Amino acid sequence: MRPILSVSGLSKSFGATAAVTDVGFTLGAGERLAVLGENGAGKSTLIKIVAGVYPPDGGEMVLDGAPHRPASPGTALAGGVSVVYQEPSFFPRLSVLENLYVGREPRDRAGQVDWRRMRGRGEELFRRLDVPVELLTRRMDALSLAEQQLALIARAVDVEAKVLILDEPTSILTDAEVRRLFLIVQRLSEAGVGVLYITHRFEELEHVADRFIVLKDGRLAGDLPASEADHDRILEMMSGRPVNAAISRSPARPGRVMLETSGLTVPGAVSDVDLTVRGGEVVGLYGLVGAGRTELALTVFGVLRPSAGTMRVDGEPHTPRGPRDAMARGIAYLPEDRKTLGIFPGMDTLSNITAVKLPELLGRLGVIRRAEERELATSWIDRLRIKAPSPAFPVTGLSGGHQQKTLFARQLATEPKILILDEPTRGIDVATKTDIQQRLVEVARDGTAVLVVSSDLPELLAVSDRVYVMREGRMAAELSGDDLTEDAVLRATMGVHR
Amino acid sequence: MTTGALPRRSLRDRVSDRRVFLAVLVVALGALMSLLSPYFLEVGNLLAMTQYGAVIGLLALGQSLVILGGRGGIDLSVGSALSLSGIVMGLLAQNLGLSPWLAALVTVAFGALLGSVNGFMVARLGLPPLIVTLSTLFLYGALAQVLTHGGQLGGFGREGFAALGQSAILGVPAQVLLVLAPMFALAIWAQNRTALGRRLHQIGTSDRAAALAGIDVNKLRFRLYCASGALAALGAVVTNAWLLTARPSAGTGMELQAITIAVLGGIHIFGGRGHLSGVLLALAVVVVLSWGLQLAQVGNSVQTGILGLVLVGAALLNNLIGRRASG
Repeated sequence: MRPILSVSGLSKSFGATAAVTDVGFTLGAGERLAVLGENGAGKSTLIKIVAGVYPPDGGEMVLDGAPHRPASPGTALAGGVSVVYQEPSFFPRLSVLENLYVGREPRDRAGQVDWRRMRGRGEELFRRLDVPVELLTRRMDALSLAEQQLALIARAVDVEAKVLILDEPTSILTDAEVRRLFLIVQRLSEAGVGVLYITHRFEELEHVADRFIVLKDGRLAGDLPASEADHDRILEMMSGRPVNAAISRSPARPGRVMLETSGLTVPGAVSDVDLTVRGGEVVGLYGLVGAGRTELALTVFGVLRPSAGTMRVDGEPHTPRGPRDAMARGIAYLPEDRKTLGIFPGMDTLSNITAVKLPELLGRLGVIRRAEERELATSWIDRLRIKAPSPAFPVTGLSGGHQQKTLFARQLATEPKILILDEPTRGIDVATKTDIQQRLVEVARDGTAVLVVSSDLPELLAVSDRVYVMREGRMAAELSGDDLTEDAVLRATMGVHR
Repeated sequence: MTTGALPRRSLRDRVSDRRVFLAVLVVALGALMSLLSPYFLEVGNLLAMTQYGAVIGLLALGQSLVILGGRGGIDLSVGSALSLSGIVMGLLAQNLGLSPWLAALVTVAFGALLGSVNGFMVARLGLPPLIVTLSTLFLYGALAQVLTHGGQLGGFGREGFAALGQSAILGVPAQVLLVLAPMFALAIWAQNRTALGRRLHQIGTSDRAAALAGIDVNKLRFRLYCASGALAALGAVVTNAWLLTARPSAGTGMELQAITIAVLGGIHIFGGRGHLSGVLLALAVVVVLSWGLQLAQVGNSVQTGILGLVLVGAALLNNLIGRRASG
């Protein structure tokens, strides 16, 4: 097979974090290559380098015999590398046809858009891919997610792609749509296009891949033909990392059940979930992005409404109408996205720490007892070692990790009975990360029920006494003790059973 | 990472504080104006100057609260709300023969009601503030005209009501001493010392974070628009006591002056940032400028042009200092 894309020694770091290290592989013309790996293993960074989004720090790429050094996604596309991202971008208010040809509309001699020719080309393309032609005139935002995906794949294919990259294309598709997608991939492959296919679904491998590579911690952990792709072997390549030994975790002495859900269902996100968290223990919640973990947390916190099932807090029924009801029951929630859901950017560190605690710091007429507030903030700055020169220092002047600690302090200051942390250490430096992990274990040992949502598996294994795994909105496994291993969590995540 | 001891506020921070700039500007303008016109610093002129400023100051205060509340907050309807409230007060005092003092109270409540219409559409229905308050600008303005058929109303010169707009206590106009100053004092105190002020900045800088911190974001934002409406009506009360007539065009164009003063005072147009004390200083700048230019017999159109220059100058200065501080 003629190689269409070969990559060698590819590396990319973001600050001190190495996202991709010394990765090499070869994609043949007409070959379908699956890319596997955990959350954060470097898959997205790898394809973004190939697609010209990030320049590599080192390494070589050769595309169809010529060096491939794209300066931008545009030049990569012109060179024949076409990508459909997991979170695709398009113009929602334009028609599918306009989206297909945006920026490269056929023109007539007067330089005006030649609609007739554009329509003709669009119809031909859709017929070739077996996509309903009627979709062309619909507005992009009127399409289902699956139809949007098909339109974007069609767009990616139409640019005479030599290499087509699909980033988890099936995560939102129904079975019938997935089969159609497989068929499209098959046809493209027969036409000589090299397909890089990122997936988390083992059951898809035999349909979409001739070969697969596995990434682990940014390095290539395996490169095998599909015929040798048995699940055990892949899992072995994906896991096997040393757990974070820097955390000291005394044995849990679980107390009362503080949080309990039974049959909890949130339309489109969570189905029939049973979960318990006891005082004194750290419970981890793992799953792929989109598995329903955050939605489960938001439901407990009163942001989302369940359509079925019940929740109990400390034995009492819990039917919050909003975050305030949840807070009144002693639930604290550290949101997933620090920048948009956490910090108050224009304000100082002090008022960011005391934001939730504020009602307890008020005198008559709602006057803030400032000395008391300052004392509280200062004590948390000391206890969590937040690097703020003074409580009045603007929160946006702190590093990401210390902003996160500030938010952690905001929740701890309320002395919660149940503490829910959503991705508590995402995107922060290692030292601060360890600090926060150690802290949350200690909070649990002091009697708080702690639920940690994380996509960072080594982190979850290091801090958790018990781990739940969610898969496509359902609870796929509950693991503890000797059963709680990286291998077992990954199996449950991927839906593979022994 | 910022480490080590950092002085509480550096010199650069102080210079880049809009309030320092405005205070210097007020003094400089005052000096310039007294050179341009020998009458500028006469007591009578200072009086008239602040009488003019009281009304627009109330509107600017309401405007600032709404802008601080974030999510594109703006209240374009304040001028029309002032006109309509003034007319309603006239109807109560002249046609119904109500005591002007009682009519004034009812009018302020009516103003809050006008604001609540904006607040409901913005906070509860989630409509864009610009569109909502542009609509009520036209709606309230038209209502004011319709109610009077374009004429004017009176009935305010009874029970010593005129004293609120025409007398002075210790040389300070009553509307400044009894209305504007207490309102600003209360607002500045609330902004700096109370939970309300803190919540205002929190919803203004991050709506979603505020909701997750347990703040009833919609309720607070609704109340800001009510407050803006009530302050506009208070402006109408003061206007009626000053001029003793209510005209349906009394507040025309005032909304843009109010926005100008708010942003000149350092209220960040995207919400959450800025000091109400800065707005008070900006009010002083605008009043000194327009009154001084009038005395110097500079025409109205040139005056507004100069105001535009001051505004863009302040923005440029902030930009320059900010860039140098970060770069």
